[in-house]
Amino acid sequence: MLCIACAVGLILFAFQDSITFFYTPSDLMAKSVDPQQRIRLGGMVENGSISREGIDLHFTVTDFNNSVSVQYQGIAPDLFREGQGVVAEGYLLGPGQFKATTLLAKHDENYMPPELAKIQEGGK
Amino acid sequence: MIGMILLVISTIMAFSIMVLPGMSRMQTITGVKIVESFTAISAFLISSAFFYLIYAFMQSDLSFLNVALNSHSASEIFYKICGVWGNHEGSMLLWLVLLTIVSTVYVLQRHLPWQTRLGVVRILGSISFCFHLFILLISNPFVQLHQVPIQGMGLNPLLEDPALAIHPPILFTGLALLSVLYASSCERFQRIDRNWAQSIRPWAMACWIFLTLGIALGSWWAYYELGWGGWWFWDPVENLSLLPWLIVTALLHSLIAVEKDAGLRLAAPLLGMLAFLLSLFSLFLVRSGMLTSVHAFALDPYRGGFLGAIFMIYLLYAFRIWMYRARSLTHQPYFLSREAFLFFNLLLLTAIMAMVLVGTVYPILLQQATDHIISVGAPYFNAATFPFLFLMIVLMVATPFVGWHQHSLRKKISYVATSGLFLFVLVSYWKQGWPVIASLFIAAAACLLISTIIDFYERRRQLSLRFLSMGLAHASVAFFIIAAVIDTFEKTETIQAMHQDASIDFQGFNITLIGVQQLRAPYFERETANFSVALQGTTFHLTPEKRYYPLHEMITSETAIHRIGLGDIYAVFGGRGQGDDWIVKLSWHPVIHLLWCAVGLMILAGLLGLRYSLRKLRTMKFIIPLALTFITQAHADDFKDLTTSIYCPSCQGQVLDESSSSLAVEMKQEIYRRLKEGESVNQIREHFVQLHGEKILLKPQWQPYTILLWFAPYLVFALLFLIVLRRMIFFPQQNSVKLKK
Repeated sequence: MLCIACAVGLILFAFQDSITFFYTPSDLMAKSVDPQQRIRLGGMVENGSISREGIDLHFTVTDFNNSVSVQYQGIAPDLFREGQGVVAEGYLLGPGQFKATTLLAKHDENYMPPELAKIQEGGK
Repeated sequence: MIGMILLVISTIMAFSIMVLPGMSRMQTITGVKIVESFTAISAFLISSAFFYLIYAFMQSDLSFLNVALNSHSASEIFYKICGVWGNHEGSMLLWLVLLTIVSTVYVLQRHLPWQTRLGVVRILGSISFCFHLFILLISNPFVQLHQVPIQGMGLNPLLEDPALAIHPPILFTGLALLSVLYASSCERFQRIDRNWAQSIRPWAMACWIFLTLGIALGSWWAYYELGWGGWWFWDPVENLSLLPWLIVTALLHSLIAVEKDAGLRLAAPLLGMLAFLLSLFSLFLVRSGMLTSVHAFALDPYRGGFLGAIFMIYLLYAFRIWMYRARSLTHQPYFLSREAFLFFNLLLLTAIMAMVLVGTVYPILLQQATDHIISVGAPYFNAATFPFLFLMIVLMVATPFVGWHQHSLRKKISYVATSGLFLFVLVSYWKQGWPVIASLFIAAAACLLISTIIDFYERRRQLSLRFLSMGLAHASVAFFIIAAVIDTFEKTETIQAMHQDASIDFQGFNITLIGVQQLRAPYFERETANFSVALQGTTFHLTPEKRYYPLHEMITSETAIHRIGLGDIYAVFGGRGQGDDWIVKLSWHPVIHLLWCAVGLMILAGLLGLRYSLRKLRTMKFIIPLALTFITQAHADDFKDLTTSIYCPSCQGQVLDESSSSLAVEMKQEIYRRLKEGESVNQIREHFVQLHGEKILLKPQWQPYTILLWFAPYLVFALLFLIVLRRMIFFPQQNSVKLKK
């Protein structure tokens, strides 16, 4: 019994800081998000928005209603390109500005993460 | 056509294997032989179907939908074959082949009593039948196309890799062995004893080896292929594959206690059942498409529904068996004894399993029920599992210093404890940049090594295979933890934009970009960056590349890795940057090879353990159940009633029905004799109470608290399943698989 109590306590404690919420650009506009909180931003990469400066990558994520500009340092995942879905994990720098620490993109033609499928349905 | 026919006949065979052992006419030696041959024939048939599929892939027979989706005529032959199991339908067929082969091997164990074999193979047959139906109706690899396409789509480029090619067969073999553990635990649930523990041990050991190897291969592949240099991502499918592994580890340890008659007779079969149920659950989650993961397959409600139903069937069956034994066992271990430590170890492993399960499933549940999308990642899993892992290491350190059936802790442990403390201080001081937890784990792992060495030294005169296996396994855990900690905190990386002939210095290496070449291969195009690396006099080349697969519209990177001593220098090519620049990521992993060696040692330890348990099997004596003939059915019922409500005085917590000790046998014969002479049940009971006291009688089984406990988890699972089902039925827009024309 004691073990179960400890385990439950540990789960709740661990959960507090470690769940990452998922937002679309519209969600970000609508809700206020703590800049210290790590969140995921998902949407489509806007056509013509990808630019590189050295190892810095800039692009815009949109859900066809709102957009957020994202900056990322590093190698973009394979399959990251304009007109495709992307999920960026990181922190909000300011209104409409997002700093990504990790980027996740589509894996192959037939597979689409459920989160992105919704956005694509919404966008069409 | 042939494939379908083979599949159908095999399904019929599987059905008979499920049904025949239940028929009373089959409960004979000849009946067993018939079932044996049916099992073998079924294995043969489904293997033939599988080889036929392989043949279809090798010939690039595009009339099969499966081949068209997953193969290309220009692929190398090796990858054509691997394409067979690189997709859902083919992999399910492979799983079934392995299951039937494993069942055949099990049923042919002539040293086991035929009654046992019959009971177990019946359950195995039912599992086989369920999956036969699944493949036949829902995931048929032999579906044919009316219009044969000109070219296949090719194997998913990520899967074109030797390690990934053998990863599924090995993992599936482990899963097939899990079903043996389940079937045997269910069949034997009422009569767990040393015999069972000894006979199931080789199976549990083999299962563990395959699972360890399968997971290790997956990790290794992720390390060198995915470009992040990590070897564990707490990816949902990774997590789900870890769950059965944790439980089988717990099972192996609890079998030790059962063999020494030191309790855990309820825990061991429960673990056996749980491991298999977890694998069914993972199969359900993964194949239904609900997981967002590198491993995910396309969404399909029929698959999900069927697999979910299979999972529920076996879950309910396990519960039903467990409920029949709703009484507490009277074994009370001493706190500082080896059996108690084994029990704690079991609890800790189960706790880790529960943590990982909750973290993996919670986002899915939340999303299905409320539409909130969250992700649970490394921070949660690390925070949730590390405390338990640390406690487990402490237990492993202390185990050589406690004994069986006694409450004692030898003084030598203080040496280990003080050296541990000393090391902790030393490491904290030396590596200022590390968090406390890192030094803590290194100190604990070092303690584990010291403790194992002390144990070795004390037993140096009589080293047995069994001890070698254990010592090696625990030592490899220590090495693994040391390597993991160092790799996590000492690995470095840098991302650079370089133009041709540019040179940088990284971790003592001098790296120059010589040039980037572009090449065309049959079904992909690639860009290769050629780096020359100089390190203290030696030079070598790193050639990472980016590949573009037009058929799949997919881009992959091939990393370039070079080993230096125990470490790896690792380069990932990022393609074009700004202007003339090329992006590259370089990383240095100081002791990654120690990690792989540790896993290799673990597997070696498993093999030694397997050899030991197989050897022991040959010296076993099996006890055949007591065969008594009753004159009337009433006598038989009374006998059953008495033997299930009277404890055996010399066994720990076993009723007469379950026990095979000599005293129990005598008592059973006494009961039989008295029933024959016409004594009533109460009279016989009185007789034994007078001889042994009130404590010999079983307390009533059902108390309100126990009923709640047994039903609660069942309700939780049912709720989970209903929520998921609702989602799948009422929101079908997530469920279409798009095919490219």
